[in-house]
Amino acid sequence: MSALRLSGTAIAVALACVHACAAAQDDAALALADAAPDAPVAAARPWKLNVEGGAERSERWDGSSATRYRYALDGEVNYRLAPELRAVVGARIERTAETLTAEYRTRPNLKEAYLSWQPGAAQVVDAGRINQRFGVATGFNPTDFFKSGSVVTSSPDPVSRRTNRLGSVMVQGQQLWDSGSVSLLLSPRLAARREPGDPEADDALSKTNSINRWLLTGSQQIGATLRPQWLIYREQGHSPQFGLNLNTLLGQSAIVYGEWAGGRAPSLYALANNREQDRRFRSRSAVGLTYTWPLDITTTFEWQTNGAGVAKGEDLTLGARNPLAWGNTLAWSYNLQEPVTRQAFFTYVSARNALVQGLDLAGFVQADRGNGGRQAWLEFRKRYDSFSLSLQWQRQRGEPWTRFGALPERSDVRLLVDLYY
Amino acid sequence: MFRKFALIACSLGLAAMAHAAADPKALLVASDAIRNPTKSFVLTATLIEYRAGKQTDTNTLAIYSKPDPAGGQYRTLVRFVAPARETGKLMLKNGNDLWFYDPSNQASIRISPEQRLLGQASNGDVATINLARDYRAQLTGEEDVTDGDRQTRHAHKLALVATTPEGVNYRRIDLWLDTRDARPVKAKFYSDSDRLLKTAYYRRYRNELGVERPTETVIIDGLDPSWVTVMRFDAYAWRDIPETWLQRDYLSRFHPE
Repeated sequence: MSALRLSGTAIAVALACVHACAAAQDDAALALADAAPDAPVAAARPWKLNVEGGAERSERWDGSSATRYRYALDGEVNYRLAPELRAVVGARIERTAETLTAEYRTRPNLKEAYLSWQPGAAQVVDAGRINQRFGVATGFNPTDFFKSGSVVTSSPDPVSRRTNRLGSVMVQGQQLWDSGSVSLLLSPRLAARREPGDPEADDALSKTNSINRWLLTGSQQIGATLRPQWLIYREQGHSPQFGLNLNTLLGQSAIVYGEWAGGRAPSLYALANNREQDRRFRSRSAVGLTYTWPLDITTTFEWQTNGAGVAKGEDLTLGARNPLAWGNTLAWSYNLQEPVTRQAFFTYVSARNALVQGLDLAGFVQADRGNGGRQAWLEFRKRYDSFSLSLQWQRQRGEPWTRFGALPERSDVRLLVDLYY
Repeated sequence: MFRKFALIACSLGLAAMAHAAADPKALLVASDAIRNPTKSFVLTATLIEYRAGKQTDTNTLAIYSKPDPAGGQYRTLVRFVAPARETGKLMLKNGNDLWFYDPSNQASIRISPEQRLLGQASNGDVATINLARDYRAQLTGEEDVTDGDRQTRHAHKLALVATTPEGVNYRRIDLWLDTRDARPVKAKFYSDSDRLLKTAYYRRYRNELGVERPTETVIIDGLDPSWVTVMRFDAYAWRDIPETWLQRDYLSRFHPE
């Protein structure tokens, strides 16, 4: 009996200790809040500027290596000229050199420059060089019709490739309503005619406006978490391409998505080598699942298909039969940002505050099915308020006739610093 | 004069609701009305994060909220103001329909409620939430608790259980409301496995948009009590928010002026 009474007393004492400990911890937290400074409220400003600098060391397939130094200014202005009129300009100037003291090569890129007129809350008209991006997938966006040939970065990171690219000159109008919108854009030919994605396009207009094209898009909210987007896209002289973007939430942690585009089109091999005889209906798609785990870790698994790509073994055959034509095909696939094989798999991992506060981790593996071609990329980024430091590593694997094996470098390491203003 | 009268009447009304037979649902509705203005509004939130006593992160957000007349919940648009690397990013929250917009690549990406854009604060913590809509309240008693200013408050203790667990961040919440006026004093938030996720203290009461509201929430992590986030709310203002702002396709068009 006395033993029971003793253990009851011990439990009461233990509970009191736990309670006192929790109260002390709460008190310490509140003391921190008492001492927290009153930060001045920052006002929104119409410009943004990033300064990027760094070095990269790449290793070629023969074992030789090369170093490159780089710095870049990346700025954006979004300025209200009048109550209904805005001017938007985004530009990047990048300078690279083989050694610190060598002569730097300068590459200026006007990513965007347009006027946006918004006569009401629901209508917008834009005119100028505009970056239009579409697609819900992560690694491959078949409905991102304006991606072809527009990327101006060598980074394989899908986020960087979506960010660092040229807009196309166009006029577009958008009508919004409470649960959706419809938009039409017209992009004229302003340079010698060539197919979008042509690796031989050298100036900005040749890369973005070498053909007349239009795009009609519409989206509508259906239910609580479903919002499909439909697209119809056409290039002059080619069949219309249709597109669909769809994603939805599963539970509290998962998002499932699907992106599809289809229409009559030539194969990648025929497009790259001006052989028009194999036009037929072809589909491109990306289907994936993004899942958020505890500790801010997010993983994405994506299955990619390209009806214009080559079947298993066909790349080896074509490469052996006509190496030049197959080399063209690989260059086009890189510029079009499309898998060269019919099927591919992509997985992406990101983690915020991995291991230490402010350290973010991101990485992906892109695997082409059927030929063993692989690309892996990993980034550690330490965030500070006004700058970040990042270490990036990239590695390719594959035979020379695969799209990754055909890249000049086998691996690459970059150390970058980004300053934010 | 009229404003002062209205304020007194409003305070008396809230106090009367708090005392009226201590109906837990009415108490929860009254405390929601203290935390959240009942019309469309905008405010600025500053989040200061501490780990082991050291400040590790600071974010400033502009938060636009609009009550949804159909569902009774708020729809919230969050604009990242500072630090510079985050400036211009947007988050749109309409229940579990969450979108994140990054102006650098103009991508509107759907995110899950579990994906965090800030440190310890969940997306739901920075959004305006009417607890009475998503939780069933039960009055479990009255007790003296220490508030955020280390004063002893006599409080109703409400046990809240999510009516639709898949639609909320926390399966259950313990909420302490001042018995005098239903002011939220403190809350404890629990996971699906009934683990304490965080403790929140509501403090720095100040008159904002006609009601005495808590303008600071101190969030203490349930697993690591040295992980603390201070959320400060400022620059409250009534703001008409067009419906078109609160849909994904408008995110790339949003400008704060």
